[in-house]
Formats: sequence, C-alpha cells, structure tokens
Amino acid sequence: MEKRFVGKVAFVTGATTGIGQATAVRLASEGALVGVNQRPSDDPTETLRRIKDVGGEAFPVVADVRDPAQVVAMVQEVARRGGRLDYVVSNAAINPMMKWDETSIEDFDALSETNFRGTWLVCTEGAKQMVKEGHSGAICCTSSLSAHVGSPSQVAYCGTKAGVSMLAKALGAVLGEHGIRVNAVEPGAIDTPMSAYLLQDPPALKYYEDRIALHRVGKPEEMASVIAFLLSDDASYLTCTTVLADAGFIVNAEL
Amino acid sequence: MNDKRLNGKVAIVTGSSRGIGRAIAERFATEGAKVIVNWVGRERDAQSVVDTIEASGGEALSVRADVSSSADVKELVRATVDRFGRVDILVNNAGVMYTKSVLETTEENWDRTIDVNLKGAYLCAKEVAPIMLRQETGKIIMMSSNSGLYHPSAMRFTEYVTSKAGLNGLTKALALALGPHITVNAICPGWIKTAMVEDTDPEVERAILAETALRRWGTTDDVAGAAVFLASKEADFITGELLIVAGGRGMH
Repeated sequence: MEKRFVGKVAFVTGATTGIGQATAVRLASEGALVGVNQRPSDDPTETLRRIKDVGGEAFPVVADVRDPAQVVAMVQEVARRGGRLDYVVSNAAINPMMKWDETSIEDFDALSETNFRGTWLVCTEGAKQMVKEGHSGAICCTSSLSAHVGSPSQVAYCGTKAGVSMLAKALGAVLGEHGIRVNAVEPGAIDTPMSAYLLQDPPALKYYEDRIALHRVGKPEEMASVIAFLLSDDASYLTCTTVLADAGFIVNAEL
Repeated sequence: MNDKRLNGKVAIVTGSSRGIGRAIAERFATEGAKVIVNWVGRERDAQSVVDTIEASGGEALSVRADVSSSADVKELVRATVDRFGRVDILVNNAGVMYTKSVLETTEENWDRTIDVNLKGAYLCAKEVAPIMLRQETGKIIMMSSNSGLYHPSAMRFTEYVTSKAGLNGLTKALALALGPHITVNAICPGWIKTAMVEDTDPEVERAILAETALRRWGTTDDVAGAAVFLASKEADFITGELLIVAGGRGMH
C-alpha cells in the first residue's frame, strides 16, 4: 500500500509488545521514523527487529510514563533525533486482575498513574512540542472497550480507560486550533500478552467468541491499522473521536 | 503487491451524483473499486461522475434508482451483479433534508425523509446482504449524521434527525444480524460543505465554526477518507460502530 507517513516522526509508548508493538511496526512500515518507547525494565529488541524486517527506521527511547521528568525527556529525545514530532501514540498501560474489594491504594495508584495520568502526560507533552514546532500533527490514545463496560476484576482499570477516552476528546477540543487532532481507539478482545490470562481461559474465550458479532478475537495488527488511519490524512476531519474496535461485542445484547 | 486499498472491489454508492456520495464514488474508484453511481433526479451529474472515473482509468456504471422503492433497489443490485458479478461494498448515502422546523414541515416531508434516509438504507442492505453472505465478505456503510447521536447535539430539522437516529439503530442491529462475514458501520458527519447546507444562515455558520475544534467546515473529501477506511480490510475488526467525522464539533 501507499506509504502515508514518509518523512514523519512518531513515538509509541508501551511499544515492546502487543498493540504498541504492532503500531510501531505499522507506522515504520509506512515510512515514519518511530521512537519505540519502553520502560527501563523492558526489552525493545523484538519490536526493533520487526521494524527492520519491514524496512523501517526506529530507535528505542526509555521512559516510564509514571515519571513526568522521563516523559519530558522522551519527547525531547524523539524530537531531537527525528528533527521534529508529528505523531504521538499513547498506548502504555497496565491491566492487573484484582477483585474490587482487594484493590489496594497502591494498586489503584499504579493503574491511575500509568494508564490515566501517563496518557495525559504523554499527550500533553507531545502536543506542547508540536505547538512549539508550529505545525499540525495527530495524537492517538489506546483506550479500551472497558471505557464502556465493566468487568469484575478490572473495576479500577475500567475507570482509567473511560478517563483516557474522555481525555482524547477534551484535548482534541483545545488542540484543534493548532491543527492537532486527538482521537482514541477502544480495542475489544485482542490477542496480546496483556489479554493472555483471558484468552487462554477456554470458558472466557468461548464467551467472547460467542458474543462478538464477528465471532473472533482480534490481532494487534488490526488495532495498528485503526491507529494508522486515525493518524493519517484520511482522518483529516476526525478529532475528539473514539473508535470502538470490538468486532461487535457491545452491540450484542442478546446473550 | 497492488497498493490500492479497494482493488477489484465492487461498490454501490447510493445518491452519488453529487456531494458526499460523489466524493466517495470518485475516491473509491481511485482506490481501485468498480463503482455504481446511483442517482434519482440528476442523470447528467451522475454521468459526469462516471466520466470522471473513466477518464482516470476506472470503471463505473450509472444506475437510476429511487432507494425508497424496493422494485428500484432490486434493479439497482441486479444491474450491479449483471455488470460486475458481485457486490463487496454498499454505501447507503442517499438522503434528503428539509431545513424547516417541525411546525413548518408536512406529513409528506416526514414520509419522504424516512422513506429515503431510513427505509432506503434498509432496503438496499436487505437486497445486498444475501449476495455478501454467499461471498462470505461484505462491507455496509451508512451515511448517518452526528445529529442522530445523543452527543454531539442535534439540530431542529426533526424528520432528518429522527431518520439518522433510526439509521444508527439500524447499523447496530444489522451488524449483529449479518456477522461474521459482513461488517456494518455508520459515518456520522458533522457540518460538511455540500448543496444540502448551502443556504445556512451566516450567523449559524459562525456559531457552528466557533464550536468546532478544527475551526473549519468539513469537506466531502474528509468524509470520503473515512469511508475508504471503513470499506477496506483495515477496518475488519470494526462493526456496529458509529464513526463521528465532525472536526470536534460540540466538544466544548
């Protein structure tokens, strides 16, 4: 396919596995120079190898999105190495299973600081850099189906994802005058390491496959294609939009 | 590797002699699709769309059909299959809007709006669905409106808004009924510069732009980009979704 991001510079948080990894590979395969964000403890080797395999260009950039100083440094590093910043994909998140009455303050803070505050930090710092550079750009957040439906072991997680979807809308409203579009994808059941606990549990997998209108779970690449669309010029009039990509999970109220 | 997103696909775009439908028809052809240019009153405009597509090396066929007539819709789909052998994409774009308030519109206005905007989409989807199910692949896209959503806000053109709200419900019900091989989604555009809204009051226009994040009207090409995405394999994991293409309107 035509390469839509030639000469552009992007970074993707949480890009060592899953949807972040697939997105980094997709953007690089379409010509973007991609900053592959990892936490200090993560290994970016596999993502960088896949990008090399598709003939793309990338570099690793370390930052724990819970740490404001590290986020600021990451944005500066990407803009310095790329000479500019066009696209931000705020994707890093955690999703530990825990019962509602066994969730500690520390558990809640870790979820909130990574998924919600981390998204706010990454998008805000990325946007400041674009405004400073004085050109248009696009931001995409990875939210979740969980912004709309509850789940017994993910109460706090669901709250953070609803927050992420609303952040995208509220940020989009203020960044429009700078030509910066902000949107979010809300993935349903996707086959990633984060969802392994669920999809390797046969009864849970069967529930999802039965309920989903397309009767299957998704691949990370299928979210990367949505994110690539939202960053591309084909989405030129999309901002403050959330795109539910759940293959028809929510829509099925017949079960 | 062919680099066109809709290469070899056969697409019906209802109401594509002008406006958003025309932009979608032309863009689909650019992306490699064979396009049925449907019209009901504007034969010359439709022919000019076909001419434009053919001049760029694409394939297109102009077919007259009133989508509110089941007999016409059957003919539309039959003509498509006769010429191109299949139907991969249906864009239910044909629509009418009476820019009057509920106290001024007539029962005929209501009937025509619901017949074209809502029943027409239902009839077209119903006619292509068996073909798409046999093919085990198909994409149906409704041209709805963000005025048919709970948020952003509605307009006072009662029949139109009601028809679009109905279209959103139809989208979700069809997504459920026609999976797993057919996806059904809607595009909910905001204020797009077309003939349909050419008589907008300048004061209303200023108010709309002030509450639109991107500070500009949408173009028909803006909507066509979203339609290409939903019609392509890039959106294979999306069904039952209402995609807002409104430049951030009403988000303040």
